[in-house]
Amino acid sequence: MKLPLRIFAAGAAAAAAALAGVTFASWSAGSAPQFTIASGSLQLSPAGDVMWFDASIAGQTVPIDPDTFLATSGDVLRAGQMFTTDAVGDNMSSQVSVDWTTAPDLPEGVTAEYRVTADGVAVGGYRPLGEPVTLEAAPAGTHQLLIDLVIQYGPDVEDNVSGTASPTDIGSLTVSLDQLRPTKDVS
Amino acid sequence: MLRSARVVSPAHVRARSRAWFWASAVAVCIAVFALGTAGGSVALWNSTRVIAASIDQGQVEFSAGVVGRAATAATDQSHSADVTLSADDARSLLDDGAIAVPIEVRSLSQGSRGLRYGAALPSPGPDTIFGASRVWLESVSSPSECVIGGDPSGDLTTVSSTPVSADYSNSTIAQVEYVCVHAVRGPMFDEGPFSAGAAFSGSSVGGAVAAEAEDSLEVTTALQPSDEPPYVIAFAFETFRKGQ
Repeated sequence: MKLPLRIFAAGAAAAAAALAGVTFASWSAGSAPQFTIASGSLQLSPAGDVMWFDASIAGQTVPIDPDTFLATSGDVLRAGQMFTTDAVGDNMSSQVSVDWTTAPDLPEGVTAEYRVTADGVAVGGYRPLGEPVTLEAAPAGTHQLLIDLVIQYGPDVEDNVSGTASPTDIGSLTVSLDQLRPTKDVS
Repeated sequence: MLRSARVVSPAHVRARSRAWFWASAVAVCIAVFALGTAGGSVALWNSTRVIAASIDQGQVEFSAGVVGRAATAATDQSHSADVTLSADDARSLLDDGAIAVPIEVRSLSQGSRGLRYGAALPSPGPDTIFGASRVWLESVSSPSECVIGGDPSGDLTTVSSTPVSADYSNSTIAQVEYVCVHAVRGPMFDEGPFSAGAAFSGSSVGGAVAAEAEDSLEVTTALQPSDEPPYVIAFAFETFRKGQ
């Protein structure tokens, strides 16, 4: 194969590989720019659906459907979502972030916080809903992640006599798994 | 026809190959960069999952009113509904001696809060029709049970009920209860026998003339139903959780 064809084939292969889920690992140092393409994969998969509970009574958790549940003062609601992160490949350390694409909108008297647990270990304590968090980098492999939300309706939540009380909107909580690119010198 | 042959030197071939190499390399760079940054290719570099939820708040409804008349509904600002007996009720009480007025109470509390209410009679002055009457409350199961009769002993100026338990509920159907207001007219403050007499004496030509006149009548009262101050029965409610 002639040189132009070989280069074209290499470019096409790189593009095809990228489309197929291959990731860049790094630029390598050298006298001329070259690509080092390492295959791998990066996956964040919810393990089951979000589980919602009415945890208003200590020691009792009753499954609820947030789409139909009607909250009142004194309620404590919890939601849990398990994720599995899977980073496979060379230099495929990864990082988990929790952020909000739309901010939560909580009525007066309602507080909400969440905590992240990675591989069974809590990452800090509960933090206000809407406050982003980025976890420490994790090596390649499979990891378990739990997002645990707690929504409390305090005593200041008024009876909804007029029927016009605003709903509690937790916003759009986005859990992201990103590849961490190793730091290398480019000369 | 003669065609000129083009002679290409090896150096020219190498130069052209280098040019192809760099052009291709740049093209691949651009292509792969575009793949990495184009919207549809972000998933190559990260994975994202979104959790979203919006939770509604349970509603509370409470109203009270004389059956067949407009009811008063509680608001966000007031956890009560007042029921006012009318001048017609006072006239019926005055004319007929007794009345029984059914009041409908509607209660709804969604979620995990129950609802309870109480009603209390006002304390009007004795110089009013209701103030001079014996009035009491009775819980009844239907308006048809609210009939004139009876004169129970004891203080029955209040009633209370818990129509909605604190068990979780998403029902939209209000609980309906009835409270009967009984009233039996008592003696009005100005009621009783009334007598009026007049005597006069005078003289006339030819002799003295004396005349006396006396009259008596039974006066009930001078109170007018139209002057009766509002007789307001307050129905107040509160919501509660289990154990409260």
